[in-house]
Amino acid sequence: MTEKIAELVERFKRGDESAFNELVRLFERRIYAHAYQMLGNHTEADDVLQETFVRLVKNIARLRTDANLPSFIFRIATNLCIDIIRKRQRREVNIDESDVEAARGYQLELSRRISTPEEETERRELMELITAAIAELPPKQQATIVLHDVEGYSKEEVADIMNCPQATVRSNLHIARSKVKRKLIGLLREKDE
Amino acid sequence: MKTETKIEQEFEEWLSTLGPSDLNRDLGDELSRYTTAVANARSRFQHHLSYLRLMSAREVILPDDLYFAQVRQKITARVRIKPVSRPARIRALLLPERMRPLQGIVSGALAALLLVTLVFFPGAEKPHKLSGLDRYVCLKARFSGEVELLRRGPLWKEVESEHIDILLRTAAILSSPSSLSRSRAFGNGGK
Repeated sequence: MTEKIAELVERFKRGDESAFNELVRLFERRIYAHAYQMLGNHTEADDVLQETFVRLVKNIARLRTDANLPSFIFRIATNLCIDIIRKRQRREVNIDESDVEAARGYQLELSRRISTPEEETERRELMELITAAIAELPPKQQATIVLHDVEGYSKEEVADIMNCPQATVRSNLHIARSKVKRKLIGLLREKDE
Repeated sequence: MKTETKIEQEFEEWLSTLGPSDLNRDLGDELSRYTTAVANARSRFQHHLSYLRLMSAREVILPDDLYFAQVRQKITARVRIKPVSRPARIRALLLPERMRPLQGIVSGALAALLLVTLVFFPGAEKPHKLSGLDRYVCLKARFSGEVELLRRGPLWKEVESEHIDILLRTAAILSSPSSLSRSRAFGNGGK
């Protein structure tokens, strides 16, 4: 897989559009899922998905090792998500409720195609609870906890994506986990029992 | 006491390394290393596993293929794929990643510096004007010398005769009858 990615990147750097399209196909679902996990709504995840690939084209010369594309692409997406979260936190009082409702409605529509209404309600409740706990964290802690505890990346991979030392990842993860566990304490006790 | 703290720290460290990928692994053996030495090790471990299960339960339901096909079209419409040029590769290699946001500022500063150099020092290879001057002479000495030259020369005579001429004309005007009558009027009437 790594060799295939490296070969596609090399072709893409030479200006081969079909190689770029192939790379988009390879990563689009993972990037969408990552953006959705971080932002919690379809509209913003969609924006991040498109912008990530547009920025990939603009910044491809900066990719030093072709096989590092996954980290590079996830770094772009994570930084875009962090920017959106920062903007959101800055204008938290002025959030337009109709926007949130519109976004939720679209998610529901997407989800209904796959799961039953009961499953969807239960899943949404659980998701909203965890999302609320994560949303209270600073943006970089949010990114760290989502990448490590939700998406299952190793600390080394998270450090690579976040472009920071592993010690920073460890400390961010420790603080973020403590805060989220405190918020979810009721649910965790139920699960323990 | 010290050993207990060390084991406690080790246990905490081990717990922090566990991620969603460890949920399906048998961790009994690793846990048994701590159960005797660390208080509530089992319950703390269970608590952490519950947390990980809860977090990894947060799954995203992906939209269908049609959505992704539309996204691909939108992306293709927004970008223009062209080969990465050699200067762009070199620039990317030379500039460390943390410096890259400053790339524009650095380029601007260099361009401004070049512009200033060209405007203020257009011919850098020419000798400086000061190097063409004679030995330094103070301004006072230079001025006095020049005045002295003028005084001795024919030009000074000409200026002197001109001044005398002006003085004579002025005396003639002031002593004319009309001018004298006016002076008297001033002296008598105060007007």
